[in-house]
Order: sequence, then C-alpha cells, then structure tokens
Amino acid sequence: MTKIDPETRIPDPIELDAIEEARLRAAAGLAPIRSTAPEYAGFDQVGIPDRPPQTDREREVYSLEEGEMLLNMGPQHPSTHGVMRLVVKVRGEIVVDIDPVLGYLHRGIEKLCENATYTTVLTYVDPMDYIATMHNEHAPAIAFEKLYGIRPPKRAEYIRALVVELNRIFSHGLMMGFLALDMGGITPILYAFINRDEIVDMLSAISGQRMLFNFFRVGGVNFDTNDEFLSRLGTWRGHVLKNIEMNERMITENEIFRARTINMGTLSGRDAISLGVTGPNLRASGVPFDIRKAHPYSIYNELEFDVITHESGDSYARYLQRIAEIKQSIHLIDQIMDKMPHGPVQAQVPGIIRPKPGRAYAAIESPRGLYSVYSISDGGPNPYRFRMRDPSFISLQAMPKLMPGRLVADTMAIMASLDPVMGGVDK
Amino acid sequence: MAVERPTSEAPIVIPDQARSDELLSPFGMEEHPQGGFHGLLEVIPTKADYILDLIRANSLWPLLSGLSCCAIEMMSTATSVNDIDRFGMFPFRASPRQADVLIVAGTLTTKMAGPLVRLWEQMPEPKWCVAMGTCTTSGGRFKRSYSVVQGVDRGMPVDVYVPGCPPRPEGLIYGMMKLHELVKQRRGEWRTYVDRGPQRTRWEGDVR
Amino acid sequence: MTERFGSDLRNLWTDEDTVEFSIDGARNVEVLTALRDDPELDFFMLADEAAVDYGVDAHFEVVYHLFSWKHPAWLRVRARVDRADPRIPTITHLWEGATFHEREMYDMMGIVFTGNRDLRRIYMSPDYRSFPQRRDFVLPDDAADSPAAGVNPLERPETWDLSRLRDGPR
Repeated sequence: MTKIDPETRIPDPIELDAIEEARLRAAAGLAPIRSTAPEYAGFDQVGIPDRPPQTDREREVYSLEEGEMLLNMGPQHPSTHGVMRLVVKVRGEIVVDIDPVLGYLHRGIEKLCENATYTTVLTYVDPMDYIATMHNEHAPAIAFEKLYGIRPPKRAEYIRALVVELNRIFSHGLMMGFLALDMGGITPILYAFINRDEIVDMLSAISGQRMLFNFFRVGGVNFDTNDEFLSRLGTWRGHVLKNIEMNERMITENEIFRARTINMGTLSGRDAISLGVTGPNLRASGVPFDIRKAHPYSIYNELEFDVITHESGDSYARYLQRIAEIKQSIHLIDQIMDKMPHGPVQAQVPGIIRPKPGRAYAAIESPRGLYSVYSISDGGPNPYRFRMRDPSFISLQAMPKLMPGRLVADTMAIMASLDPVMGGVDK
Repeated sequence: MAVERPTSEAPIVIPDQARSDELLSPFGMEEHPQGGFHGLLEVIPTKADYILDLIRANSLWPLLSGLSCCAIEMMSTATSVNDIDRFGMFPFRASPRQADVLIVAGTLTTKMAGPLVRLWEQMPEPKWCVAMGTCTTSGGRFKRSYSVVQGVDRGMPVDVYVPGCPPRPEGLIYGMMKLHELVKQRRGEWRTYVDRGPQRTRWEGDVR
Repeated sequence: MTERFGSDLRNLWTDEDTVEFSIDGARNVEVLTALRDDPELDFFMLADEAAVDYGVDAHFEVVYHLFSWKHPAWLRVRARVDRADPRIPTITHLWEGATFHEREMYDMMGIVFTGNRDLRRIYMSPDYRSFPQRRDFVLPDDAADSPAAGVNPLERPETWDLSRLRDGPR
C-alpha cells in the first residue's frame, strides 16, 4: 500500500484550470485575466463576467461585503417563466440584492417587423407574450387601423373582445398554476392546463391554431364564429365557474400557500406607478387603473364591468386579483354573447395596406398590464418603426424592490406572482 | 410530422461484443445496414441489450429546457389531457446530469446558445436531442433575425425534428414515438458524437 | 400647456385620442417634471418610452407617452436627439420604471442617457458591438453574418464543425 502523505492537498479542477490558464497566458505574454486591481474587487465569482463594472448599479450589486455571496439562478431553471437569469446577492439565505439579466430570448421582432407588411407584422408579434397571444395582436391591429383610418365592423369588434377575454381567462389560470408550481405544488398546474386546453380547443376551432393564433387582421378578424366554436363555448360556459372555483379553492385556503404569499412582495401603489407596473399587479396594490375603463378601446365602453382592486399589494392580493378578474371576464363574455350583432367580420382592405404617413399609439389591457404599440408609417407597405411596450418587461423592475429581505426560496414565488412571460420581456 | 435523421452508415456495434464478426455470424447477427436484428432474430430477441433499450426508451427523462412558446405546448403535452407520463416521461428533470433527452422547445438565441450547449455537454450519455418547433429546426419564423441561431443543430446533434409553430401535442408525441424507435434501434446521434469536453464561453483575449 | 412651454413647443398636433408635441432633447426633464407635478396636468403615469431613428442623415427621437386621469387623450412628447452625439438626460428620477426602457434604447439604438445609473446592454450580450435597431444595421440573411457577430463562438462560422454537416454523421 502506498503511503499517502496526509499533508498533500489535491488541487481542485477549477483551481487547476485557473493555474493552467495563468501559465498559458504568461507564456503567451498576455496579462492575467483576473487582475488584482481594486476595481475588480469581488468580481471573481462564478457567473460574473471578467470585466470591470461599467455602471453604478453594477458596482452596487456586484461588490460584496462580509458574508455575502452571489448566487446565479441561471437561464435554465425549474421556474417556468422562461429563460431569465437572476444574479442574487445573498447573505446566508436572505436576499440582499438582485440583478435580472435578460435577453436570452431576444429575437429581434421589432427589427423584423420593419421589413414585413402590416399583415405579416400581426403574425410576428404573436410569439412575444406567448400566453396571451390575442392581446399581442390586438394592439397592433388597433394601431394600424388608426394609421389606415378605418374602423372594423361591429361584429369583428365583438369577436375580438370575446377571444381576448377568453385568452385572459386562461392566462390568469396559468398564472395560478405557475404560482403554485413555483412553490412546489404540482397539482394546480395540471388543472390550469386542463382549463387552458379546453379554451384553446375552442380558439383553435375559430382560428385554426392552438397557440399562436394568427387571428387578427387590419380591419377585423380572419374567420367568423362557426358551429364548433359556439358549441364548445356553450359547453365550457356551463362548467367553467364551477371548475374555477374548484381550482382556486385548492390553493386559496391552503395554509402553505397563504404562509408563502401573504405579506410577501408587498408593493405600494406609489412605488408601482413609479416603476411602471400596470395591470393586475397595479390593481392589487390599490390603484384602480384599467385601460379598458381609463381609455376605452374597442367596444369596452358598451360593456359593464367593475375595476377590482385589493389593498394589500402582496403576492396573495395579486393572486386574488387575478381570480376576481377571471370572474369579471366570464361576466364580460356573457354580455358579449348577448350583444353580438350580425355583420361582416373584416373591413374591406387591400392585401397590402399602405397607410398615410403618420404616427399611432394603441394601448390595451393585457393579462400582464398595459401593452401598447407605437407605430410610425411612412406611406409604404412596411411600418417605418414598430415599437411594442411589453408589460412584463417593465414589471420586472419591481423585483429589486420586492426581493431584498426575503429568503431565496421566496424569490421565485414573488416573481411568479408578478407573472412575467419571457417572450414579452425579451421581445 | 416528425422527420428522422438519415440512417447512419456506420455499423451498429454492440459494445460488449465489439468487433468480432465470428461471434456474431453464427447467430445471424452480423452487421446489418439498418441496424438492429434481422432474420429470425427479429422475432426472437435474445439479447439483454434489447431489454435495456426497451427500458431506456420507456423511461426517457426530459430536461426542462423550455425556452419559449413551444415550452407551453410541451407543458401541455406533459399535463393531463395529452399525457406523456404514460410513456414514462413524467419527471422533467431540472438538472442535466439526471436527464436523458433534451427537448429544445423554443427559439434559441445567440445569448442562450452558450448555456444550452453547455447543458447538452453536461448531460451524460446516452442522450438524445429533440428539436421541437420550427425555431429550433431552422430558425423558423425568425429566419433573418440578428440574434436567433438558425437551428439548434448548429450546436448539438439532433435526433428528431418536430416541425410546427408550435407543434401540436399530438405532433410532439409522434416525435417522441419516433425517438423511441431510434432508442430501441440504437440509432441515436449520440453514438456518433464526439464529446469536446467541458466548454466555456470564450471571451476576447482568451488563450485556450 | 401651451402657456407654459409655448416657446419650446413645436408641432403641436391633436388627434381624436392623442395630443402630441415635440421638444428639444435637452429640455425633456424640465417638461416631464412639469407635466407630472402640475396638479392640473397630473400626468402621473409614463406609459411608454420609445426611440425612433429617422435615418442615417437625420436625428433620433425619444418619444414619451403619458397618461392622466384628468385628460382623456394620451400625451405624446417627442424629444429630438442629435444623431452625431446621442445624449439625452435620463428621467429615472421621475419614474423608476424608465430604467429598463432606457437600457433597451441604449442597447438597440445607442442613445446615451446621462445620469442613468444602470446604462448597460439589456438584450444583447455585454460585448455586442453595434446597435441593432438603427437604420444602418441591415438584417442579413443569416444571423452569423450580422455586422456585430463574433463574440459568441456559435455566432462565428469558423468555429462550427462543418464537416459534420457536409459528410453526415460519422
């Protein structure tokens, strides 16, 4: 048996890597990557780039004090919001600061839309907020109609509102599922997906696609309702309230859920407005801002619904807000089905529209907040500038305000209650 | 519908009885261009490897690598209505070390390409890759984008391409059935793949 | 509004649901602070902050959209920014939510917001070398040919193992 010297220290592979790298760099005559200059202090942690901090905020986040550590919740993680990287500065288990790194899903949609006709743009914007696809198409459709100077027929507006509310229902349902999933509960997501599958089968009967419905056109919608859609809608409406109540009862009164969401991630109304948070997150903080009431578009000034708010602004309030909005949406769908007129579903527009030069801004209420489109036309077949303001992108700025002081495990729970969708965040 | 990679020209070698045809030919199991068994032995499987392949096929554990919209359809495939739990794929593992198949669902961007390829390299073999959706097959609807990798097979070998935007859950299930066939016939790409070792993103000024 | 800023307002334009005016980039903080704090105007919400590139020979524009309960229309403020030296003061002290907007505009157009504490790239890699949404950035037919490709090895064709694509699986 060989005698192993107990004093021998086996160097670790990461160290060996660094040693070898330093040796090779020295042999090649280059300076070492990680210098000892003071501006690099605290910068040799895993996941942090080997370059000096460029901005004040980076310096603030990436400089560590005694007992702090940087934890990288990398782009691939079990939370189902998509690919986002969170660099979390923790002291023990408590989060001190957080820096979201975005862009892992940036597809350059705005640039691609500058080379596409107006109708093609409506298909390019689908995969932005891929859970609320109809809303993604609604805002550009309104903006392009303003540019072109037409209004869609009444029936088209009603069908638009109908599918948009259906989309809102399953989007909020999915948020409930993801919130529970991020806390470890695997059952509610199954129910959320059953709910989504029912609605999506309905929407595929009317638009032909299960998810990235290419349904809106400039001047109306693509297809009229058909028998299959109406029969599925009727069946669904018969049991949806009961199902929603069953699903939410599973988690709303659940002790663990309540303990993990009440008083977590409290956002005051003033902070929310300053941060640009809109939608259910803002209404759960007490501010009754709903674009469907504040600046009505489409036919929302003919429909009656309430703007619900909650006072506390914590994760539980955001969750309850979304459930209440599901019920409001069902009420809206009832009214739409009562009032829907007959008529054409698409205005007469040419295949390639060439609006007069001008600018248009259209904002709608998506399940995540204020989704708006600013479009500039130069008279040609393609938009000159097509800009989308996505609500999830802006809501993510609330995270460095909500997370500090919480445990690492709450990070995901709070983020799930803000309900970001990375497709929208990264465009 | 899913499309499989063309059949490999390389002989399918059963590892524990490596190169000797003399051992194989009495049993009629010499190299077959299509791989797998032929003749009588298609009907009477006698090798334990066949059982192992069956086991591997029926419990492929996917890695949670849902990047964008196709991830929602992948989750929809995994949940109650279209259930791939009945095919053994219930646990979507979060760690690549525990996963068998990487279903790349969603657009691969240039920023994400590095982490995704690193995940692929971290997966232990045998491993398979399914490119779900047109964005991973070829860049899809983002064909001219400045930040989308035009197809995930620029970074890793793909076994099954499932086109669609997004593919229906039934389409993904069909793709997984094709993958089962590949697994049982040992025709995956991983066998022809040379591991380049642990990779890291190279910054400017890197020496190695 | 016209009384207060009359001399600096240009191109006042009204539509059925939008009021728009242009200002010079350097005055944006002043104008937006007044719009937010004046109790009659009370534009409490910044709905959108966007950047527009009007061409290689022309200027940039930073466009703010504001909302107020007291006014039924959206207010659009267009602030002109020079293309040669694209600097404009930040409004993050008025609305913290402008941080990500301004980072995105810096990343995509190259407009520098002076005073922003966190002006770094948000969508592209930190080492990316150009500004994608400018008009002179032409979309190539392949991402690998884009003008600023090259940081990530997967963007560099010389690092791909093309023999696999040519000859098929080994």
